[in-house]
Amino acid sequence: MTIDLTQFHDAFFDESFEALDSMESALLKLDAGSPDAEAINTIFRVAHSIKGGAATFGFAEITSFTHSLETLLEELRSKRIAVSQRICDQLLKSVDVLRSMLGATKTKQPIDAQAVADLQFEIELIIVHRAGSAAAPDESSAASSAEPPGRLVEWLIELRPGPEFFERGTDPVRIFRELAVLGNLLVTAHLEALPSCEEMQPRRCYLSWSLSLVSDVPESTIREIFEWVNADCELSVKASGSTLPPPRSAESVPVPAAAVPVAAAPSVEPVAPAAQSANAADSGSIRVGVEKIDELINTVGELVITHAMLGQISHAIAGPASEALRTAIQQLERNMRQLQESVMRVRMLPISAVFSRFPRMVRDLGQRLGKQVELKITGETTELDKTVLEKIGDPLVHLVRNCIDHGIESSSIRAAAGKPPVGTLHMNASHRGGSICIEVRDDGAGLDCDRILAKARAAGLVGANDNLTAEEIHELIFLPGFTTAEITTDVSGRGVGMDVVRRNVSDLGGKIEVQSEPGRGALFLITLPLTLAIVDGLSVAVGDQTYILPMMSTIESLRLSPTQVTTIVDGREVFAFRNEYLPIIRLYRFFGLTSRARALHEGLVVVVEGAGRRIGLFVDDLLGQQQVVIKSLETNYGHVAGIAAATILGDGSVALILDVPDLIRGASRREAA
Amino acid sequence: MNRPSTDLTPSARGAVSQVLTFVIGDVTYGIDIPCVQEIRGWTAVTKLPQAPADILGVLNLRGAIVPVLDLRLKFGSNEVQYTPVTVIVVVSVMSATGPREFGMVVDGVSDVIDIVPQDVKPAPDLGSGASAACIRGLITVAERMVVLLDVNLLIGREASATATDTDIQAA
Amino acid sequence: MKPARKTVRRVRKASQPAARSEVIALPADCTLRNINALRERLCAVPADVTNITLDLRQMERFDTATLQLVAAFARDQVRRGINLLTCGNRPVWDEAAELLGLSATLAARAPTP
Repeated sequence: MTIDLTQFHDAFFDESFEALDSMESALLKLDAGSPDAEAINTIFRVAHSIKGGAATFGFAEITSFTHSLETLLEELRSKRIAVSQRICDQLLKSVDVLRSMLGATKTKQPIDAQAVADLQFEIELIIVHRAGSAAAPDESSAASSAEPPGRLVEWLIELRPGPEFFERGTDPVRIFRELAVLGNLLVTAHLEALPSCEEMQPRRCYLSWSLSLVSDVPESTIREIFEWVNADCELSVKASGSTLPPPRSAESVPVPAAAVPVAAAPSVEPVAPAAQSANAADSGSIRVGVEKIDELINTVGELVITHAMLGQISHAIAGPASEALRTAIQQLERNMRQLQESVMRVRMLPISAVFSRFPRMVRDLGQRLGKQVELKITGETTELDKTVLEKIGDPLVHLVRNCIDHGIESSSIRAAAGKPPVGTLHMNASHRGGSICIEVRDDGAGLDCDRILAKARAAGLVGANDNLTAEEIHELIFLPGFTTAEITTDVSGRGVGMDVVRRNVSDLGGKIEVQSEPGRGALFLITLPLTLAIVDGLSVAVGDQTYILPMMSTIESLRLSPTQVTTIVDGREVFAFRNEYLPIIRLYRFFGLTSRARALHEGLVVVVEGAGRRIGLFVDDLLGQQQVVIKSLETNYGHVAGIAAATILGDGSVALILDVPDLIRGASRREAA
Repeated sequence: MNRPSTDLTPSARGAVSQVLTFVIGDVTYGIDIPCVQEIRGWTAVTKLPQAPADILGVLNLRGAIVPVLDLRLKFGSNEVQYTPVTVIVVVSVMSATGPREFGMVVDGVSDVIDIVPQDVKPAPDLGSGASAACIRGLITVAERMVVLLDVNLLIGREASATATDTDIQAA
Repeated sequence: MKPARKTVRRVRKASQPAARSEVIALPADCTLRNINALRERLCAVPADVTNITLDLRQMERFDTATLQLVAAFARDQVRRGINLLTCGNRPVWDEAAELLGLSATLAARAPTP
């Protein structure tokens, strides 16, 4: 009886595509001068496993091609052939060819036999001509130190300063900053000994810390950092002895500090992300359907609301048990926050999934446009929500294309300007206080303000006599239909550009800013929220209603004095804020409510930014800061101008979440009218 | 009140269908039972900016944000009160984007009656107007006239004001 | 001993006591040198406030001692159910708080809206 193997085809294709991704990634990192043996092993295993699968299913062309590939890789692995740049290029081409072969086989289309045959011939040629290309002796086998470089260890550091610690002049922030540079640092502060503000002697140090540092540096490097403080504190540094998953970004988990004395210091073990190796079988990860995770997140969101309700009720209760209840609810909040963060992390994947396509793209694009570009990527272990990850790829691709096409100059121009001939493109991702920052920075020519201004004037976007600051000119590139490309290359410059990027980013709840220095380069900074389902909100009172302002959009809140506000044409009010004049929107008028405070100095103005501009929103009062769960208004109702979504407060009532970019756009439209 | 079957399409094949009747002013209205999700007492709603006058706002229905429409205002009452006995009937309708829920404020809920489609008379010409458009027909039950409403037409897309349509009042 | 506070401003009641906000502007020098004066200022907050806003805009220098003091202050306010807000976006302050493991304490979210 023959077994029907077609049911296994999908798994084979999926795994093979994944394996090819890791092969490509390893190849791009491979330094032909000193090749990493582990990387070559990885690539060999990929070819070997694809060959095995292809043979099982009778995919003859793939089997034959991967067999040649495997032979070459075996020669490289045993160092009978030396790795060279050319061989790397051929191997990269093999990845492409294999991808198209797998794709064709999967969709039952014909394979491009000619392309396959050409490349296979090249590979066989290399194998045949291996004489005289023996590689240098293996240097990496010497295991001289107990910890070979590159092996990650988790160090558990306990720091218990004496009370005079601050007086001695050492600032723990500096120490921790140095540690953070060495690897991934997780800090837990212990506040048990910290008295209340009234009781404390502020010059004394009451805090102690437990740190976890995942790093590959030797122990001596870590101890060196504490050299100067050893006498003033108790210090212990030891390895945790556990094997480690791939490193995580240091600031991704804010560890909740104990607000009430607890028996043991809380420590948070980060959830290990799914390992991205070619062999899915031994990576210790599970594939989970996205719907299951979304359901989990919904339930956690409901928990957040229920917890808020409990908190509400507990404050209204008096009596002997009430203090204990409140304490328990605060403990619940800590548990909830941890649960929430863990669940959010389940949906989070390292941004390397997105960054990984760029080395190839930059390399190809540079060649096509005749620019020499070196790509640096840092912070690729920074994690973001899966949905955000999926949608941030396109805007980033566009930014990178822009940088290479318009930003980075040709080598001759660069040389004439005294710059190194190879331009640098730096992509970095990091967590900053509850948000994700993605930077795309180049050392090219920067934004050409004169051309941008001229183009904007020609398009009627800017008046002929308007004077704009450099920042305002930079913001022009985000207007729809704007492009300064003279010739529309097929790569970019089609005029769909930066406004779409900004719209995509703000749809994700984030924002994008640009900084540029003529001749030195440009920096695009994208800030994104960590999660889409929950937002850090500032609740404000307008009349008798409560609205939520996303903290991401909030700059500052101020109380204005009557003299700070100027009324200009047709009743519009503006005030000075950090060297610019911002318009004020009286939210009670927008919402048709009666406000408690009529005069501007009786309420508060919250400065917010969105769509590249800033305005002030006039509210009656600030009520508090809290995380709110986003609930859709559109499911049952529809879209309301100025409102992004709704949420449910602790007392069960509905509060509306303001859409800052929408409010700002509406205000601009009214000004233009 | 128990939640009836989830079949949202009223039976039109001559079999008996069930209708929930409720009162607004002196008039008795009816809607198909399958659309009715639940009946609640009055709770405060959160106002929505730039909403039509008969849309009072939204409320929290077990975690979902549900708009509330005052049918009394929609049908021309000028004076409406919200007392502890005021009732919100929560219904679910099928839309292009999936099921939508909303609440309707009425003066009080009466009983559930059985009707036969043949007995439904077409509505006389009551002029144009949004409220007239949602009348499915009339039926007499136990010497009472019941105005049958088409729930799908009660809450329309005029609720979705887009940013471009709205003039935001800046300072 | 300060009495326990009822924080929440119940929205949708006909008449409600107005929220009392207090703004504390941190000075330019927030280091050990100035720490006693800073503590005096924090302890001088009236008893009937519902919100306290820390204004960070004028701060030019700060150190761990100040972060410790503000952490104690923040924790005290949460226990009293008072909302602690900050005004003036200072990334360097946030970064230091994260490095010291004090971010959550300083965020001081009172569990009511």
